[in-house]
Amino acid sequence: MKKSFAFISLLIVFVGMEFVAFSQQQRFPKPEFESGYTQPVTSMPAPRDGMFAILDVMVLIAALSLITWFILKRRSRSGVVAVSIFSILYFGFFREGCVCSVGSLQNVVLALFNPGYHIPLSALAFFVIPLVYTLFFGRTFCAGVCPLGAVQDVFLMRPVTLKKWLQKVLGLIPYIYLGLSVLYAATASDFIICRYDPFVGIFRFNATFFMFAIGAAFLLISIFIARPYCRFFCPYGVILNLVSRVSKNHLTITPSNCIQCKLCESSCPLDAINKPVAVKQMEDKRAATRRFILLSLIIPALMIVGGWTGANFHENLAKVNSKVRLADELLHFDSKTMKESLEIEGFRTSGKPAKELYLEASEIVKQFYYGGWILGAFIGLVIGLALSGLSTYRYREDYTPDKGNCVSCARCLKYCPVEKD
Amino acid sequence: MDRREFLRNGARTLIVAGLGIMSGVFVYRNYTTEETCTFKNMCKDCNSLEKCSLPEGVKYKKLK
Repeated sequence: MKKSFAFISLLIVFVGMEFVAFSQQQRFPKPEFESGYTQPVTSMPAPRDGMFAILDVMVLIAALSLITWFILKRRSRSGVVAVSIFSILYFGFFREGCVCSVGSLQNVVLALFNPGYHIPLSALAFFVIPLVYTLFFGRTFCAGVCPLGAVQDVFLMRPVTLKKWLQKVLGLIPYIYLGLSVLYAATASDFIICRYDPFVGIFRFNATFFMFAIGAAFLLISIFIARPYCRFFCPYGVILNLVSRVSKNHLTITPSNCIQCKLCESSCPLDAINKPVAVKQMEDKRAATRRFILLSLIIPALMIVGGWTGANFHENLAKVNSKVRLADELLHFDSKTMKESLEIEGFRTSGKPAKELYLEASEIVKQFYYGGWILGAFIGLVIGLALSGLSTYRYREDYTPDKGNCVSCARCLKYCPVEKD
Repeated sequence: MDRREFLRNGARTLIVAGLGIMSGVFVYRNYTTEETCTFKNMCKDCNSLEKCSLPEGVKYKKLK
C-alpha cells in the first residue's frame, strides 16, 4: 500500500513537472530571426565550472563507496533505494544527467581516435571509476548510482519475467548500439547515446515531445519489465557486464552456505540468478564439446558476412556526419530547380572551396567503410558467441547471481533466511 | 588458486593496467598538446556550428 502510494506520488511529480516545462516553452517561444535561422535544439547543458566538476567526481566516488557498503557489508535493500533516490536527484535533476558514465564512453572513444581532442577529466573519471568499482565489487554502479538505472528501478512495481529466448534476442541490441555509438564517436560524427538518451530530456525538462514520449514509455514499461533501457539498450552496461564477470567480491545471495531452500529462485526481476545444475542433468561431455567446436567454427563466417554487410551500408551510415551530408546536398544541388538550404548558404558564406569539402567528406566516407567492416564483424562475433554460449553448461551446486547480468540491486538478499556466520 | 580464478585475476590486472595506461595517456596529452577547435563543441551541438550562418559562426570559421 505504502509502496503504491509512493509510486503514484512519484509518477504525478514526474509527469506534472514535465507539463509545467511544456507550458513554459509554449508561453515563451524561442525568437525567430529574419534570416530564417532556426534555433538548434540544445542537447547538452553548458560545461560546468571546474570546482563543480571536481565535486561531481567526489560525489560519484562517495555514492559508489556508500552503495557498495550497503550491498556487500550491510546487505541492505533500503540503503540501495536511498542512494538511488539521491542519484536521481543529484546526478539526474541537479546535474542534468551530464556527464554521465554512459555518455562518457563516447568522449573516451573520440579521444582514442582523435589525438586533437582533449577529453574533460571529469568525463574520463566518470568512465573509469565505475569500471574499477565493477571490477572489484560487481555492478554496484548500476544498482543505484546511475540515474538512468535508478529512475527505472524505482518504477518497478509488478515484475514480469520475459522468456529466455526473448531476453537473449533483445540482449543483442546493446551490442549493436555500442558498435554504432563507437563508430559515430570515432569518426567525430555524433554522440548518439546522448542524442537518443530517453531520460536526459526528462531530467532537464526540455525534452522534445518525441523524446519525452520515449522516456515516458520506458518508465511505463519499467513498471512491469525491470530496467528495460539498462538490459536491452545501455551500451555502457555491455562493458560493465563483461567487466563484472571477473569481479573479485561480487554480491552473494546467501551470506553463508546455501541451504537450497529455493526461496530466492524467482526473486530477481532481471532473471539474473543462476539455478543449480545437477550433474545428472549435464549432457555427455564429448557431444557437448563437439557441438561447441562446430558452433565456434561458425563465428568467423558470421564475422565475414556481418563485416561485408556493414561495409555495404557505409554510405548510409556516413550520412549522419554533417560534412558528408552537406557535401551530398551540395553535390545534388540544382540552383535552377531547388532553393538554397541554410546549410548550403552557410557553407558559401564561409568561402571554403567545395572541392575541399568533397575531399574531407570522401575521407570520412572511407573511414565509415572500414568502420562498417569492423562494426559488422563485431556484431557477427557477438551473435556467434551468443549461439555457442547456448551450448555450454556449467555445473553449479548453489543459487548464485549471474555476475554479468546482476545489477546488485539487493532485492534477492531479503529472501535468504540464512544468517551470517 | 584454481585455473578459473587464475584467469580472472589475470583479466582483472589487465583491465586495471589498461584503464590506468589509457587515463595516463589522456591526461598527459591534455597537458602537453594543443587542442584542435574542431571537437571543442562536440558536446554542445557542435554540428550546428559547421552550418551556422550567424555572424559569430561565420567569424569563427574565418578565424579558423
